[in-house]
Amino acid sequence: MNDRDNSKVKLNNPNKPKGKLWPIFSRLFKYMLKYKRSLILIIVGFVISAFLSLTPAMVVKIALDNFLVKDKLNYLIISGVAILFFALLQAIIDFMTRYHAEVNGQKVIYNIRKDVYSHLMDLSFAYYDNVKTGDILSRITSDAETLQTFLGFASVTIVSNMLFVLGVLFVMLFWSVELSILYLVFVPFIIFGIVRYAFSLRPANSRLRMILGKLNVALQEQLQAILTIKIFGSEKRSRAKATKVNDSYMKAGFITGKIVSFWMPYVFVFIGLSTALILWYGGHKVISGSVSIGVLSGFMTYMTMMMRPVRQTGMMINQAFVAAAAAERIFEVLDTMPTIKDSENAIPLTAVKGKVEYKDVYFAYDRQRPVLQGVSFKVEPGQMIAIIGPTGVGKSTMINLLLRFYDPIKGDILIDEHNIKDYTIASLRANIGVVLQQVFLFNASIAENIAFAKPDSTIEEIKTAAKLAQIDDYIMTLPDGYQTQIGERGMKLSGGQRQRIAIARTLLLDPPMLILDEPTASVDSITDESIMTAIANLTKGRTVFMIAHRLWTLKSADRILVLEKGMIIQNGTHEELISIPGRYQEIFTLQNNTEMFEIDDGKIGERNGGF
Amino acid sequence: MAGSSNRPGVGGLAVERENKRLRATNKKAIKMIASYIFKQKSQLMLALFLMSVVACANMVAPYLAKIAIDDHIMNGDLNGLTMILLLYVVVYIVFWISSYFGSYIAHKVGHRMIAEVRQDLYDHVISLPLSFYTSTQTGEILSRLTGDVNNLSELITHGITNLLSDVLTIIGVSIIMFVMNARLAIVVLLTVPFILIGISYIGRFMRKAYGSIREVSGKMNAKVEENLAGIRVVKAMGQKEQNVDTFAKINMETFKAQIKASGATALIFPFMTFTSAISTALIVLFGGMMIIEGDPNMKIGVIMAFISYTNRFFIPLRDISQVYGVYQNAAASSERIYEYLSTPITIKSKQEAITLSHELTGDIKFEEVSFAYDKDMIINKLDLYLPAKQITAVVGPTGAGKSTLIKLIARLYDISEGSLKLDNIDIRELDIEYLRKNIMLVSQEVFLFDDTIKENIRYGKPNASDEEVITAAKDACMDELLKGLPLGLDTQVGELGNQLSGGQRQLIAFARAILANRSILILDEATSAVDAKTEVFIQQALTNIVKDKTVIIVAHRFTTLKLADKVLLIANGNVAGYDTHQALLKDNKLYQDLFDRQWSNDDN
Repeated sequence: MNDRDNSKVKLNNPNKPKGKLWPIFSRLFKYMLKYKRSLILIIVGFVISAFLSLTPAMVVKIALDNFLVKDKLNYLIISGVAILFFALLQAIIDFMTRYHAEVNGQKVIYNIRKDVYSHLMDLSFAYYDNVKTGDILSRITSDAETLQTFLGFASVTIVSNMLFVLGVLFVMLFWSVELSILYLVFVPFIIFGIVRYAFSLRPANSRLRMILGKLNVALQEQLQAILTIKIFGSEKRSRAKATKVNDSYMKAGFITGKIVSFWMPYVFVFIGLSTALILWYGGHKVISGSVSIGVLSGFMTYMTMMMRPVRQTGMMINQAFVAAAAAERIFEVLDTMPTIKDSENAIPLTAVKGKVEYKDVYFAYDRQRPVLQGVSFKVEPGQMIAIIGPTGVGKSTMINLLLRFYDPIKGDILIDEHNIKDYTIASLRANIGVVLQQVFLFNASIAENIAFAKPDSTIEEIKTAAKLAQIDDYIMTLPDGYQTQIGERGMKLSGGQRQRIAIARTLLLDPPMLILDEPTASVDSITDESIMTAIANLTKGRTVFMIAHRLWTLKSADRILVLEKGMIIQNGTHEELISIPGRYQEIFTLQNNTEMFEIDDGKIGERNGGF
Repeated sequence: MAGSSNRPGVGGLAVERENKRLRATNKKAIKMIASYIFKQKSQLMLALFLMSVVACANMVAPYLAKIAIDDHIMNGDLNGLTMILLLYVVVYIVFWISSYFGSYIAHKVGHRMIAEVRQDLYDHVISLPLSFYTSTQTGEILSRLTGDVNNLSELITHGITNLLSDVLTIIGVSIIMFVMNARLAIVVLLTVPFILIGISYIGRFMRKAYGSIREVSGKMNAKVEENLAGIRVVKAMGQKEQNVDTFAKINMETFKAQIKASGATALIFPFMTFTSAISTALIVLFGGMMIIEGDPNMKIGVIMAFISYTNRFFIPLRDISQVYGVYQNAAASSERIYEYLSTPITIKSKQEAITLSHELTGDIKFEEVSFAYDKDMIINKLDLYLPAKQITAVVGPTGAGKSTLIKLIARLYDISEGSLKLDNIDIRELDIEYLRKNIMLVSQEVFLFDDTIKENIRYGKPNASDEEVITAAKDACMDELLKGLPLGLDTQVGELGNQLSGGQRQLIAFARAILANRSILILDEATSAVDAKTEVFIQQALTNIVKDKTVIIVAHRFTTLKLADKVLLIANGNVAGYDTHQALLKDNKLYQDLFDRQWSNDDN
């Protein structure tokens, strides 16, 4: 997979869950249920703290009604201390509960991440063909983070705010039903405001993000194309392109700004108006003597206290939507089932002789375009088979089937007379070494990379493998030797060196069967004899499948399969095929004419940036 | 917190020097940002004015309540009470309107400003010479264009407008409290420093915790990305278990870092409610005592107003304590933006640059040309004459300077010494747009835009008709490639993805070059292997493309040498041979060596 694909931003609306909200949240809830005791503690904690947060206003009311009016200093002090005491108690309980909830949320995320990652390792190649690495990455990292903020903070805040508002209502009703009604009349308006805010902000925000994604993609493409732009002198065109997305981002920003600016004060206005009405009507009642001044003050205090939770809840509900979308994306990964797995009675593949047979194998990635259409051949143990054919004809596909990266849609593949589906996948792959065209090295030391498939290898074993792969000499010239760290994706090494490390890796594994997928294609120079020696060492005594363009590899093969239009059209040794008219002869004459004039490996080019 | 920059720590004296340098750039960077803000000063002033109105409206409400309680309710004045109600309604209408417009205008100013900054930054960056791009990663440039620029909008919406209304609220509330009752005001305000210390302490702790979270999650990202990219290797080698274990370790590390931050996150709200309760307690206690004492300035309404005011005090206080963070973030971002904006455009047209009325004929002359890259002398006093319409194949060992040579002709880099002339005019005298409209360079790595094949070809000549594009595709031998695509030229390149081989991409680049039809053609032949069939098409296309042009090809294939009028052998940054293929093969030892290696190999 190339880098450009990985980094491309997903343009699907990232903030909008596709399905219904309830199933997503209930599934999340199941994860939380694993920590049932904590969950109960958290709920109890929030109920207590919500109740306690009602106390200051209650004490103020009692103070105003009784102690103040009756001039009793001691009671006043008691009420001051009471407020402090309850507030402190509330703060402590609230803190503990929130902390607990945070930790719980993180535990859930830890588990989800673990599940997702382990699941990803099980998913088949077909899955990876259709997704972008960047997309999966964002699910396991940033989506999980979003979810965590929601579980640990936003959800908790919503619950505790709702409890608080309910508690206020309860106390108010207890104090004065009439005044409470004045408050209740405005509640629908306030709820309407919160909901409208959350619901209109959601599409606006996701639009904003979507356009930001587009902006990213557009700018990234232009920056990657900088050489092309400069060569064509098309800076002006490039600018116009940037201006277009930049402007649409600005306009989307205006819309979000408008929504925030309108609905945020709206809620305050209605709380304010309700306060005014309570003050007015309550004032009348106080004057007529049916309501105490303390009750009126209590109402007023609660109204002020409600501002923050109400405002917050709108934002947090918005968070909940974002979190639901994130959770949905994560669950999507978990719900994708691996299409290739061990059959029930699978047995491990052991004591391999290396006999391989393809029996009328058909394969297609999608229905419109068949790739393999009835491939049959037999390979005896220890034989080396070369596969040639034009780009896209299905050479790599053919060997991918052997590894069970994909399963054929028709036909069977046998190893040592048994269908490969009868073996466990792990044992099958352990017996087949693979060296691909694009060598993938991990960001670790050279030793670790060579020992990747056999982490418990001794340094002597690693060294022996490296020697056979003709890379030991080079490694020893490095100051840190085998402990040299390979830069990101092995960038510091040349194609040939990376290839030889991959060969050493496979040699260490010592598999009875081997697949080489154009191992010299990314190596610049075929005069690099050490690669040839390394490959010769590697293929000795194994059943080998090799995809190749180069002549010398064809000559050393025991048999050559010429693939065209998904079928094997020729099958024989080099000498046989070259002497009869046919596709092989054609290709061979073509290749001989255009054999590369190999003298450059573009080293300067690398430094000067992809030139 | 998102998108903030983390400069790596430098030790001791270096820090001092670094700080000094930063302060200097900081000033300039801030000046730059200020100039953008200044462009919209009338809008900004309006927003600021409206936000001040909001702050005032916010402060009036509790005072109205106080008057209602003390002057009207306690005195049984029903009419006065109704007046208060009406005033309340008026205040909230004013609040709503000014709050809506104030905040909306502020958002607009912010978004307009960042759009301008981004546009200017992009315009500048795209004009920077290629050497800038070779030393800077695309991701880094991109993050400045998006993340850093977006950070600046925070400065407007939160940093400037909110700051003003917050400051106004705090000052206003303090004044009103003093007017109502100075003694109680002092008691209440005494708690402010403690609140500020508390908030900033939690804030600092959180920043630290989030710093380490960012660090581990960065590590996690890198690990996951790497393993996903290498998923085929992982699977092929059957290393699932080992991999899952490694991930579990990092996952655990992230978990632990998160837990550390949890304490701070969980503390914010309880802390705020608690401090507000302390104020309430103090107000009740001291206010009550004053009433008992018979203080004429202390009534029940005052107590209520104080409680209400202190509640309105906390949000601005918290915001202000965060303004510094917003400012720091924006300052760091503006510095990073400024750094690019102040990078000089070294390769550009002179003031009186030459634009000829006709195309260049394509005569190329190097006179004692030297070029150094990173202090490495790559081209050393090179003299060379390439007459118009000649096809020149450039060969030579790795690192000899072939690629550099052709880039100098396109003025992708400027030569360090000597003179490079096209049609006897030094290329630095030529208008750069004119120059590039006369030169076509086809590089090894073909970049295709995420668009149709047709549009990718049309890139060479934006106003080309469909017929012209089709002809160019034909001349580039793309028929075979297009035959396999149901949508033909209208196929999206992105959908083809990896299906498009290197050779096929090259053909598209050829079509693009054919369509562009420039008088000088420079070609850096791809080294990578291409299947035999495509190879034939490439060779055929190549013969079509080189007709009647000055052509320079960095050659890797023998057939290309045969195509050339002359072969230029480059070694150690200078000419080591320049003649026909036959002549060089006869006389030039180095050329013979190079050539032998090729043939000896083909014989085996």
